[in-house]
Amino acid sequence: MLVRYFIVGFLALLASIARAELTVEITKGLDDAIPIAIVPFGWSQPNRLPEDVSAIVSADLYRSGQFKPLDRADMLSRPTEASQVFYRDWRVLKTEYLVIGKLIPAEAGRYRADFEIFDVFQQRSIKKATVASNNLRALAHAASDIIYQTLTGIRGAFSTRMLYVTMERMGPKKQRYRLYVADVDGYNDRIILESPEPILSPTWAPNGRHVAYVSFQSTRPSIYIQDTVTGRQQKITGFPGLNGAPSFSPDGKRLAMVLSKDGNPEIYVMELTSGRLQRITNHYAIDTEPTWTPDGQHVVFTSERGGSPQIYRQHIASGKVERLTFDGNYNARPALTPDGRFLAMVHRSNGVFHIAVKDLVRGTLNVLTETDLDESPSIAPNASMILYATMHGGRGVLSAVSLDGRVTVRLPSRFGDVREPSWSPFL
Amino acid sequence: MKQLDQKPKQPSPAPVPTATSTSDKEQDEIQQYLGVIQQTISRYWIRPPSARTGMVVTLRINLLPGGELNDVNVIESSGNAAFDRSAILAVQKAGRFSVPSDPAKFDRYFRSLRLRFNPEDLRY
Repeated sequence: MLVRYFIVGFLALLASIARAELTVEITKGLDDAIPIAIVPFGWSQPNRLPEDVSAIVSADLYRSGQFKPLDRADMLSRPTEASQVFYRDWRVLKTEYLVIGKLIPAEAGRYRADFEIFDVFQQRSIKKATVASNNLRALAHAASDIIYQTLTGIRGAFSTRMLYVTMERMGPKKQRYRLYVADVDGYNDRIILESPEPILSPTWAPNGRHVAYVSFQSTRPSIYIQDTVTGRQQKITGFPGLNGAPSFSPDGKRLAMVLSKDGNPEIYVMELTSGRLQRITNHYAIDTEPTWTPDGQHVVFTSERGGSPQIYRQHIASGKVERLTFDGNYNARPALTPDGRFLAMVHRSNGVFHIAVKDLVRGTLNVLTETDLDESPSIAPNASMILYATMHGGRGVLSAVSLDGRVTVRLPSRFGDVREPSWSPFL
Repeated sequence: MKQLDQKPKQPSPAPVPTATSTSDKEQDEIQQYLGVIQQTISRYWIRPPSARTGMVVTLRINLLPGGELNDVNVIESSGNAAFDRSAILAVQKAGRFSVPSDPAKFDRYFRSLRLRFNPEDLRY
């Protein structure tokens, strides 16, 4: 009897232990931006600072689409050091993270910012960091990079640059083309080439210093490489016919391009030190817009060999070709994320050109944009956003969309038509 | 899920008492509360951009009678600090959960819960 009681009691105990820890599965969430507050950084010197650092950080984080910075006017307090932080002030505003900091003059006209990131709900500091620069915008972008990486687990790309081309009409049959380098927020723009003839397909070398493009400045289109620091320009090709769509290999030693010197447009790869040229494709249909896989072993390009423009991948050593896109009858202008998983492209559906991304692991295609005539996708080095050109109010402007399609932001743009953006590597 | 959408403690027609009906009814009631807790947390869970399908973090929450959050701990990390933090934040922002007012039921099922965050609605 005693034994039986014991067994019954034991079973009941087991059942209660098993029940004591029920598990709730959370499989859905929100697609919201994370509420954050960037408090104006302290500055104790008498002179006014030429730039508002915390406003630049807020704008960076907002533009990423992943964060919703709190309006300054709504802040209940403006702490500049940890002892002044009252979590309750931020909790009532539903702010999840708080960033406070101080700017300090450093040697040789430089500035330093000491800042700290707090988790409001856990009521603790999660990161202390220092950035320094002689340029306050650069300092702010460096702070944004650290905040973004701390809170998302992804390296920030706010300190990177972009290239783009503008076309301005100067009169009948008279245009001005300009090639710009600018910070990715559109500021610090600088003309690196100006010409009455078209400038096309600008692209960065992996070193983040040299760029390649097509220019019609001599009698026929030619591919040039230019040093953005010294301005020195070097002509790379000038073959009869088409010389187009340059793309640096991941190691920067080779340049893929399109040449029509042997008949119709084909993909070639040039060894940059020797100038040795290797023909990659050989097909009577048009092959164009080459880019590289991250391992440098394959070229990905657009071809009409299947009857409509589609994206293909060719192994350089073996020549083996594989078709990558099958949705619809127009997929072009391929760009791969640095991990090689996602393929961005221009995709046409119902006669409208959108930016789409194919997940090469799962095989799914996602259309990311809703505007028309979207072109030239260029992926951020951290793969968070895709920069592209689109039409707005009858002229070309630059926009960026997050890789998951959740957020689209239009970048501040210049006069004239803006085209063909290219996002730099990490600098 | 349809069943879980209903409010807890909705009066239901009294079933003919049988040997097992009490515990079945109790199970249904517990399930409804769990469903409401699940929805509450989902409404506060903002995933970081590094979140990917297949990432899983398991938390343990301890509740006070009345449903207020006492504490939350990670019992199995996803390996991604931002993803883990997003789950903790969802729980902390929710702050209070609907639980049975019956102290026996509360003690037995709701004082401590495991929450398994396993996103199925992400694009990638």
